[in-house]
Amino acid sequence: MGPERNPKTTRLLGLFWITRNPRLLRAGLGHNYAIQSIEQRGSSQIFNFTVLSSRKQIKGSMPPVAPRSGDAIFANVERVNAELFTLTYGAIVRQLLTDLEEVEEVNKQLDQMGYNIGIRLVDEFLAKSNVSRCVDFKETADVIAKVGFKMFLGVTASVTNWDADGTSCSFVLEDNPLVDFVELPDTCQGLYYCNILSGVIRGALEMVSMKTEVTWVRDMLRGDDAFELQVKLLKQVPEEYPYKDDE
Amino acid sequence: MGREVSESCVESLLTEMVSSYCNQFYANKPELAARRIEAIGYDVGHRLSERYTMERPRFSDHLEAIKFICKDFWSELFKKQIDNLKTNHRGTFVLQDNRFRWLSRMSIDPSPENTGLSQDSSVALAENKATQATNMYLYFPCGIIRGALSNLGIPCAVSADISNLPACSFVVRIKA
Repeated sequence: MGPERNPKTTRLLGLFWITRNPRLLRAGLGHNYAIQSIEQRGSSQIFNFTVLSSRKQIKGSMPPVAPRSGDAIFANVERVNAELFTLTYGAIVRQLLTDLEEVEEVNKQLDQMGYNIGIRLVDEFLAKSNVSRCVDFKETADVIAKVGFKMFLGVTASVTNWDADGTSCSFVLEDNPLVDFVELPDTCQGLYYCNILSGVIRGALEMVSMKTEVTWVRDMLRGDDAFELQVKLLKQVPEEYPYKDDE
Repeated sequence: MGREVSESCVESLLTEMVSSYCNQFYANKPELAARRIEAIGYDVGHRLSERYTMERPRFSDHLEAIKFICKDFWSELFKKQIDNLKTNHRGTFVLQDNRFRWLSRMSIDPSPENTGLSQDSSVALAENKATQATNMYLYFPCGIIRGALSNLGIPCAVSADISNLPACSFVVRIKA
């Protein structure tokens, strides 16, 4: 296993997080590495790699990047008029109601669209937030509420209603830009207007190996005093090393 | 300054909306998908222009209304104005944005001679698909402009021209 053989370009986030996801490579921040060899020592694997390109100065083997707050990221991202976002979302929901007819189908479609968005947004989230690997689901939930919601929607959520074993909690949103100027007519009973949000969370978490179930508990458009999304961790898929080096 | 969200929110939403209509609902009927996407844009444009003109006097003629779209309306949406406005003085206006934001992150091959001549037919097909996706995407801003003008009492047809990328021209034909 010489260093020249089969070098693979990959990217490290923190010390442990390795991916060959091509989208991450394009995400911009961070560093590109070529893995040169992997040695097995006891139960641990030792990676030897060289840095191919880097935007920042690296000391030692680990990029010294600190996690950034949701406010700091939101202040630096490209932002647009929220009315455009809110009205576009509203127009999409209205068109879907016309085309799909069944409210239940619209709920499903919004969730699916959110899922597709979530699996892409997670890359931007990881690239811009510099968060390192979360130790448990509790930390993951906090990061989503404080950093995730803030950097995209400009609002923060609070995390409550933890169950005893720490695998289920709620995100509570008192302010939600999706529903500015929205009132649901009586014909839309059963519509989860913000269902795209639950899809986004489910999709994003699945990309970091967490299978979740996301359901609405409270909805201001249905007369509740806040939006509450319950997130239940179903399964944590162990991360696989993304290469077979001994082929 | 009003409320803002990250630009990724709007971009993701538009991408997902276009892909739902083009690849899922009307995979084999692009003209129907186009009509739905335009209708969504129309709805957005209609409501936005209602909001942005609430405290204004009525526009005295078509040109005044078009100028409003080029300046105030475009600035609200894209934080810049339309760069160039041309008219034939017979009801056709061409609004050119030299760097249209919604296309700036799309990869489009601007050389038209590539289409159909490529040796590898799968490459040609992929390029064709990309061009088609871009065209689908553009029905949305065309709908926004048509909706905004129709709210101002000006029925029209709007099309987009991207032959000079990254510039994008919107051609407005006012119905007599």
